[in-house]
Amino acid sequence: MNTRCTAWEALLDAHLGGGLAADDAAFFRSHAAACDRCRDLLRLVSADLPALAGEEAPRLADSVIAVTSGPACGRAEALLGARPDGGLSADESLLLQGHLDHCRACADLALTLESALATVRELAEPELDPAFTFDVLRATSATRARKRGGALPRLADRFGAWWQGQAARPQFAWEVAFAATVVLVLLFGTPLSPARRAPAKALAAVQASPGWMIDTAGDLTGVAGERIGGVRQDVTERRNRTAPDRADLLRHGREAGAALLHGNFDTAAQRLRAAGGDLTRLWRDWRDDGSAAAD
Amino acid sequence: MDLANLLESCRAGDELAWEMLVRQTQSRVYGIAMTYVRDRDEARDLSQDIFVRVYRNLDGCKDADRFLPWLVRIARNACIDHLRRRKARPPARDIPADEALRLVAPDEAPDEEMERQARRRVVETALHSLSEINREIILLKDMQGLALEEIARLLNLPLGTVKSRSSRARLELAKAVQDLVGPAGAEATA
Repeated sequence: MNTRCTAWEALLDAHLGGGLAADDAAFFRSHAAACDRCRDLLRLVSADLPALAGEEAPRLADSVIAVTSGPACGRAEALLGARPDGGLSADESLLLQGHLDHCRACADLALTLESALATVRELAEPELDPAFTFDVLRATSATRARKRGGALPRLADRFGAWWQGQAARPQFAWEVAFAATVVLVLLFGTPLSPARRAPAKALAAVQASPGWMIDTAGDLTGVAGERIGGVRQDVTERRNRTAPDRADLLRHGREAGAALLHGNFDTAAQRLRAAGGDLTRLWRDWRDDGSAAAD
Repeated sequence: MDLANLLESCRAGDELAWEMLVRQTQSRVYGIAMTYVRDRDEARDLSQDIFVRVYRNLDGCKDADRFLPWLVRIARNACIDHLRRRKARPPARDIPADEALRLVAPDEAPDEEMERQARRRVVETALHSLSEINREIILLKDMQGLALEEIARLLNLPLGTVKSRSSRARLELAKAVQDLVGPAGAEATA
């Protein structure tokens, strides 16, 4: 083998591909005619090689892969997962497809993945009943009114949402009980409490009550039966007169409680104001008639 | 009417614009809620709450191009809040996932409809067998079609992590489907 043979071999691929220039073709032919070794090589590469028949080719590939790199399924799976994003290069797509053509497990996985993702996309927008839109519009109409009302109602709205969240917490009742206890202790239970004397006064009032009651009882037993009847009648009249006020007070109190529980503070405040009005009216009705009776 | 104008009208208080926006996005919001709670009625109530949140915060979405990620973000946060509350105070009854998939398709033959329902049921069950993060990535990427950058921002994860997790999550989903219906799951779910 000499330098001419080396130059001839360099032209071999081009010759097989039919792309030799005229000068090179002349040299290629003349050298092949003169050199036995190069002529044999040309005959060998130009002849049709016997192909592996039937299932032999994949078997051979599998056995070669098994003793060299090992199965490429891991790499194929990595590409499979990235394929829906369109992030594979042309070469990677080609390599993946080549693997899928020969690996049944990966081909199954690819089909399952494709089908599952199509179903996932279907799940993105399930059908809804037509009433849903109206329910949403109804729910947002209250919010709309608040939005138009200014910053204060919006703040109340946010506070209401926060309150609802708090009320839904299981620890909420304990926390409220704890806070109420602290408030009571601060109000009545310490030497600096503003209402520290209230319990003593209340106790004194209670202790004084029996004497008053005995006096009243003595008076009552001392007077005639019509006097007792008169007191009873007076109390009944007062009760009857204030019955609507008491019913209003009860109703407004219940509504305020329900609104407070649902975090609707505007409504709760309205109802509490109304309850305050009821209470004032009730007291006035009860007392005024008493004074009138005294007159 | 394009989305930018629609949003502008909604912000200006146009009730019709708001109605249109609700109609255009309700299925998507409901789909997100269903993915989290797996109960039709609960998802419906939750979707309504999500829309109230959206309505309250419409001023927060200045850019119409970013409306979808913004909507998904609000929906996701609402769902997570709801699940936290539900964990603290469980519902009175549990509803099987099958019941949650009574979706109507009146123009399909009963066989096709049943097949579709079965396919959805399998995929939904497989979806819920995934880890929470993988399920969320599939929800955001493959279900809602958000960009990877947007998902990374939403989940507060590096972009590379989201990318690789997205790929892994899909494979996990496919394998979970195969576990449910066997290796020839492709035929069953196709």
